[in-house]
Amino acid sequence: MRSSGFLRISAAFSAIFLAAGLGGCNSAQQADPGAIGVPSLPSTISADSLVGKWGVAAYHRDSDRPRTEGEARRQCSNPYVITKGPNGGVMMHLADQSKPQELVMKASAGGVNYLGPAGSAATPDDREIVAISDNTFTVKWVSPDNSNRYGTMVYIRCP
Amino acid sequence: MKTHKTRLASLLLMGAACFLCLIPANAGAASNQIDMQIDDQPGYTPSADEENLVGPYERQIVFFRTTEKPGTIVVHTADRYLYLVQPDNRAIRYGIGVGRDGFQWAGVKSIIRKQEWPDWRPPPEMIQRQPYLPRFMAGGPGNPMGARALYIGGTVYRIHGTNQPQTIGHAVSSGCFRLVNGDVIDLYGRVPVGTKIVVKQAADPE
Repeated sequence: MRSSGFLRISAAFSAIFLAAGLGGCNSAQQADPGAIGVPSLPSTISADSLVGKWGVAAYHRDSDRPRTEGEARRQCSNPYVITKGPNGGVMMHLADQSKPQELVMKASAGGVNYLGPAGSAATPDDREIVAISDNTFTVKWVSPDNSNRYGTMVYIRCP
Repeated sequence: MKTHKTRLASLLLMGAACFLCLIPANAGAASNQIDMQIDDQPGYTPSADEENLVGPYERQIVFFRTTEKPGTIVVHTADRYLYLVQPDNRAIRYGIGVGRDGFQWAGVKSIIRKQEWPDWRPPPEMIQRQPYLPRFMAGGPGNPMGARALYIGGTVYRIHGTNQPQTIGHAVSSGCFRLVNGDVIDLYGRVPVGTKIVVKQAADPE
C-alpha cells in the first residue's frame, strides 16, 4: 500500500522533472546543499549494481582517498556482502543497526543519487552515492553525525 | 526523532555488547574507582576542554627514582602512568589508559616505528557486531588511534593517542597504552625510534 503510493508520487515527480529536463544523472553528480528529506525520483542507478561482495574502507580527508581505495581492495578477506532485496532493492545495514534491511536507490531533483529506505531522498538514514562504476562505489552519509563517525566509505568489488 | 532513536539504539547496542569494559583503577586516582562501559567512537572529536586533563593525569614533572637511563619510557599499568625518565631523579609523567583485565602485559621492549595520524582497523569483534563498518579507516582527527603512534617492537601493542580523553586513567584497551592527543604529540616529539620501554605492573618496592 505504502509502496504503491510511493511509486505513484515518485512517478509523478519523475514526469514533472524529466519534462523540465532535470532528470537525474549519476555520471555528473551535483552537490545537493541543504536537501533533507526531499521528494525522491527514480534513480538512474540500478540497485542490482550493488549486489556482491565488497572490500570496504573509509577516509575523512580527500588526500587519503587513493590509499583508502588500496586498503578497501585488501579487505576482501572480510568483505561486506550485499544481497538482492525481495522488492527490487538491496539488503544492507543502516548506521548503528545490527540487522540488514531493504534499501533502495533514489534520486533528488538535483540529480543526486541516494541509497536508503524507500521514501524521501536525502533523509538522515540515507547515503549519498558520491561515485559509482562497475567495480567500485563511494558513499557519504547524509547525517553529519554518521558522516563524522564513518567518513566517506569506499567499496571495491571483490573477485 | 528517528535520529534520536537511532542514537539510542546505538548506545544500547554498545552497552549490551560491552566490548571494552572498564575495570576500576587501583592506584591512579580515587575518582576513577568506578566501572564504565565504553566502545570506540570513530569520528568523535573531543573538545579542547575534554582534552585538557587536570589532576593526577595531567602531564607533569615528578620525582622518579629509577635505575633506567634518561630517555627511557617506563609504564606502570596499575597506576595508569607512563614516565619518560629525565636526569636527576625526575620524569615527565603522563596519564594513560591501559589494557583491560586480561589484556595487560609486562616486559622490556623498544620503540621500532613512529607514525603521525595512524590508521585504524576496527577489531574483528566490532566488525561482527557492526558489519557495515569500514574495515580500515584512514588516520585523522576523530580516528580512535589519535594523533600519533609509537609502535612497540616484538608486540602488537602501541602507545597512541585517543579521541576519548575520558578513558585516561582506565583499563579500556586491548593492551595498548593511550594518551590524550596533546600528550602523545608531546611524547612523540621527545622519543626517537630505538627508545627502550619498560612495562611493569607497578613501581618496584623500595
